[in-house]
Amino acid sequence: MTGLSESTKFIIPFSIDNHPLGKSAICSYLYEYLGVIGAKTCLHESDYIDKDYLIDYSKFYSRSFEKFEKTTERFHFFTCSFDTRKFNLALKTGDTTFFQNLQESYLGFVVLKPIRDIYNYKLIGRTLLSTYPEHDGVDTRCFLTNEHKVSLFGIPLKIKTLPFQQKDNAVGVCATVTCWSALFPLMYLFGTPVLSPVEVTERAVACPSEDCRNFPSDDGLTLSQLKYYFNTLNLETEFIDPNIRVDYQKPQDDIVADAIRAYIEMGLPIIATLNVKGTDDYHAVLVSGYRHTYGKVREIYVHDDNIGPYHHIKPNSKGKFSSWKEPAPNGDLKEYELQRLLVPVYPKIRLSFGKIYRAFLKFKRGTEIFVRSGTYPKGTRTELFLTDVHRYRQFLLKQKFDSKKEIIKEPAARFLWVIRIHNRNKPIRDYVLDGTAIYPNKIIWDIAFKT
Amino acid sequence: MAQNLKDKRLEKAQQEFNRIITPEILEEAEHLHKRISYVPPSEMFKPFTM
Repeated sequence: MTGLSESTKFIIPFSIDNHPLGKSAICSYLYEYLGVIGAKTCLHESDYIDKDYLIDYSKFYSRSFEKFEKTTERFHFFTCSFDTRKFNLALKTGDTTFFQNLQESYLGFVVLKPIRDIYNYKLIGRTLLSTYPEHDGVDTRCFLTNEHKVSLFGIPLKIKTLPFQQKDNAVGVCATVTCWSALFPLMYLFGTPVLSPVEVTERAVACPSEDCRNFPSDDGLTLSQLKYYFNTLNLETEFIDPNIRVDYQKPQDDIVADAIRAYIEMGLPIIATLNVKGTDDYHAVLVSGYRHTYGKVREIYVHDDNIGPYHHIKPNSKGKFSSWKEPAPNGDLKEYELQRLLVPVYPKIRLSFGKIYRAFLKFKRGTEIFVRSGTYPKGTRTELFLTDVHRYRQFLLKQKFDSKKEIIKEPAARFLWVIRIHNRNKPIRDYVLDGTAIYPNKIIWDIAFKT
Repeated sequence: MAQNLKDKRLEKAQQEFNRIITPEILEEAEHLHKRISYVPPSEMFKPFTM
């Protein structure tokens, strides 16, 4: 049940204690999250036509005996305070200053579907909420985001985020919803189509599995179906085993943190597959960002369809992300073991993380020797990331180094792997490799930066 | 002229890089790629149901 039905409650002050979204665990999480990112006002839009839900409705719910509504409710959140009278007056007069203030204070929206879960709570549909702030003291947060345009009664708004929604046992559970979220950055990067959850499941289940039913889809998708699904979008899939031992690896190295940093920089989604420790239950979540202190990853953020967007994951007692604890819907802590990272990549990104990782570790160990000998200052670190040539040139334009104008004008591969030596985020040296090559031996640029 | 400068610069960079990324590293990179991306068949068919 939502607490809004009268037109007088069209706009309400945001309050943690007043949940217009409902009382489910996800709604509570969303409300807490909105409180942290500074929500002050909530605007309720009734009878909102949400494309994703409409497709799910037309392909599944419309053929049920039970009557389901075709439209949804949408709740917008803002950091500024205003009331219904002020908003209506601005609509009437076309107050562009007010609309500009709305844009500047916009935190995004949550769609509430007219579908209920087993506990009779309405399901959360497409949700676009602002991320945590980028900077927090010396820490930096990096998120997988794209800019999404939003129209509120014709008022143009925009939000930089990664879409989230809750699982819906009828049309798609965790893996489906994870793939659905992953489609947005892939669309921005490679033009892949965005599908609704039911369409994601339909496409994935064309690859046979041992489970009998496709819909209702609470039997879930398998890893082979995820691979098949991304392959149908003309993408390759890379799998990374987080438990593998690699030469030159030291106890402080974490392959999970390294892989996440490497691919998030490119804007690629990373699906993490998990096993609930001691059970035969498997879960899939999407890595949506990470937080680091001068390159050292302190926490990762995941879109978990059972919890909410930008859920924090802390490293385990060994300082690694190979296992993590998450609250279950009943409030208990569940311990998960990370089984695999799956990264959908454009086929021209031929040099895989697996092929370059050992080379990166060798550079990392070399840098540590230089730090010990005093060649590089204390705190110097090495990082590995994938990028594209446009983004990398944009970075180079802001830097000082020899032969700058010649290097910037040189032709280069579309995708680049960069091994960067830096000190407190200030780049010292970049080894730039051809990401479209088969082997990690094609250097494109070796750039020593000037301070 | 610009091409010559580029060739020289690239040759120097590649030489230095080759000292670190030896043929042995390249060969083992292939093995690591196979190990890191291997998924046992049983895991491929475990459904994510949560």
